[in-house]
Amino acid sequence: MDRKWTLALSGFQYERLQAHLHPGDGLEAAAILLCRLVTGDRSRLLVYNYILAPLTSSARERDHIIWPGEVLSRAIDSAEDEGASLVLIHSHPGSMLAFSSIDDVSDRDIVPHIFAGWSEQSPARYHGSAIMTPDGAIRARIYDAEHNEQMVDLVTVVGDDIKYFWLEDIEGSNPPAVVQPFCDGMTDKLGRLSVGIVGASGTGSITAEQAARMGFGEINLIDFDLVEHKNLNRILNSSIADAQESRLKVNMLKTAIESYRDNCAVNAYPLNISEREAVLAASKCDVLFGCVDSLEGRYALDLLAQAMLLPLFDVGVTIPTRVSTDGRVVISDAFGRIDYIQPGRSTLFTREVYNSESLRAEYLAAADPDAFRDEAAEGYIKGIAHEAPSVIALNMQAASASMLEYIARAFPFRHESNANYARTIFSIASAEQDHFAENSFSTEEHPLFATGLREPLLGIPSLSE
Amino acid sequence: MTKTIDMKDEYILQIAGTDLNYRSVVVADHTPTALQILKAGGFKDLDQKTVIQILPTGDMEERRPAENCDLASRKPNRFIIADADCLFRFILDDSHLVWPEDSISEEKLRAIGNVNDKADIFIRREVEVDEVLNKGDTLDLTALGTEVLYSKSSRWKLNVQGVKIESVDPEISVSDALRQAEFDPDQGWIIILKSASGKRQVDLDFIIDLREPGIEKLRLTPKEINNGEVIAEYRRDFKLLPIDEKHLNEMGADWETIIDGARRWFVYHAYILPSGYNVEQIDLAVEVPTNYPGGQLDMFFCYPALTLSAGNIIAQTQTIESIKGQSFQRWSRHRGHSSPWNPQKDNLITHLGLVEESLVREVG
Repeated sequence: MDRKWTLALSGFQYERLQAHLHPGDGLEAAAILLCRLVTGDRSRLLVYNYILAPLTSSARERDHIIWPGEVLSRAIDSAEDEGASLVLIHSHPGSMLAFSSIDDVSDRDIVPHIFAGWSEQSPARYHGSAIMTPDGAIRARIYDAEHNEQMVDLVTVVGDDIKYFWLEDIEGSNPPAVVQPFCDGMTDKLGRLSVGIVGASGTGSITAEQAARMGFGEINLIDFDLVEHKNLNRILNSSIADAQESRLKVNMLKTAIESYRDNCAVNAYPLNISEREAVLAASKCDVLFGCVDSLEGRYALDLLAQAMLLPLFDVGVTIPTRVSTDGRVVISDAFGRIDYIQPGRSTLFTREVYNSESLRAEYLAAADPDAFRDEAAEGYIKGIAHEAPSVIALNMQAASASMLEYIARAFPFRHESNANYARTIFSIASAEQDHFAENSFSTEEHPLFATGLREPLLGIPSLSE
Repeated sequence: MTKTIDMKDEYILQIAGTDLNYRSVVVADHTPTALQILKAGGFKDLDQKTVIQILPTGDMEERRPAENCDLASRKPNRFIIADADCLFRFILDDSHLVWPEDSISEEKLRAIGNVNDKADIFIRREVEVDEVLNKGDTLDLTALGTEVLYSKSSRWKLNVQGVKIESVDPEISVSDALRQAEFDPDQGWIIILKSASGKRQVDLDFIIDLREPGIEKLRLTPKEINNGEVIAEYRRDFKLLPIDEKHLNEMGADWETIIDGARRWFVYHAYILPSGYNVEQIDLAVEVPTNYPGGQLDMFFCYPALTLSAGNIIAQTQTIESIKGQSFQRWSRHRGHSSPWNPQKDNLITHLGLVEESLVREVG
């Protein structure tokens, strides 16, 4: 997990880049990635936009490309205002996933030029270059202001599929082999990844168990709550002693995982995901599992996925009830819902998992239960569903479906495209399972897309410093 | 020999060419014809001349040779006489003007339009921004459509510690600005001038050039803050969106954010109401959820409680909410289904727009 540099792209940007860089004529093509830089132990370059070098006005060969300088000039103009980093990417149609000596010469020429041409006062500290082979694999490197080269450890693409291009998997100049799901190769790859599990109760403890046993290299547990006796029927690994000592759920799970994993870093964050420190912790992960029972938590995770270009798997269960004519409470169904959120596409908000009214209602219910009840009675707050408490059997199925959804996207094995499975809803009562495709939900340009940790954090004033 | 005229029949007119150098001529009739005026002015080639009368209303009208011109009493009776094939017509400040040449200087326009020196003359434009006529400019009358001109006094604005003042002169001394804003200049202030280029401390004699872009405000802080004379400190228990804070400060609003128990309130002090209510100003409160702007702003709260001067009942205002011990009147005003809260576009400022609309609607 001693990864220094990650370059992250959204799936829809990646697809358009791949089509441009490999137009099918076997000649090289080029583009410039505009990236926001998030520095830290694991620095991330977030691609927020790109500029394509026109195919017709570039001198393109099988092993060489000379592209118009005005494209670079445009990119610098645009990047200066944003304090952004530039990564110049071109294709190697011959499948060589390595920088050629021509590429080295070109970088030595152009990278100092980018730093020197920067007219803003605080230039971005890093710019870089990258190559893409016809199979879509990317290799990247970056330079600091002194032009020292550093290789990017991981290039990740978060789209319908989640792609990881690891530097350490490239042997010579050969693109890495495809990794089969459920096999040792998958365990190895997961060992390099950091997972964020937000919520450590009914579904969260089960998700943590799966993540740990499957081999994730770092597990970040975020939950502010304490183990109570009433939780023992549905939180994995919780004990009577934990309840008696009122241990934090995250600490209890950390201890449990460390009892069977010795090659895994477990970080326990006893925080609400609506707190700044929790958001910052989650922002460092490679994949997020939303196992919260609050809308506010889902809201924060929804925004974080967009801002940091992270894949988000949000799981929910519900057992709705109704009152029969003779006054008995009747269970009407037991549902599980798994939503996969990718940056730049539909969100939990556009999928109507929460909305601005329900968020306000949740705030008021916590801030002033009396005022909440009054408003509900007056009809200003609508749609408070009656439901039965959930049960571990349902939680397990939902948490399992959520983790399998991740595997299907990171190590594809489905018969059909993953694009068809943006949302899965299963009904136990009707023994049915419905799938909703990504394009069945509305998408709007998200103002937080690839904005990183810009203040106020996630655009929420209460999360600002 | 001396010709004598009965004083009762002597009327003095001002006539000028397009140079507007007026001279006086005398006629013996209070409704002279245009021809009579031309003769009185000693003109030759009378059929070549066009006579334009400047009416007391400010309008200008052409007079045919045989047409009588009513003279006003106790007002200058002015006529413009020129050789002209055609006249150019336009409107300035609602007066209908004609001019016998195809262009007119800004200076003459000001004279015939009776526009004072402090005002600028603007050409109204349909699509672009209205164009100002500068000193020395010449207006091409052939290029005019149904051209409309208007004059407007330049007013320079300045915010003095929350009080907005206006100045006709683009330069104003700090002490004058304070006086105009009803602050005693001699009370001992630390005076900070905020502008786009930053903040600087200024003294009373400093001349502020209000033409400088981005001049924002004068901030006054007493040089000595003694016990009992402390300026009210506004609470900032939680943050708003940057765009909210920017707008509120630009508006010169006195505002606070207060956490009371677990409820979070934005309070706008001395919010000015439209007329028709029992009071002129209120403290206006809006509840801001922790998850704002994802969580919407809804309703608003008024202290003191509002009633209508007309005595009518205000619907949906009967609930009282206690904020820091003060009883605020809740106005249950909500967004319609056609315009739900949009977390990406809506904020406190757009909500204040709805508040204003709701307050105006009751007295509209």
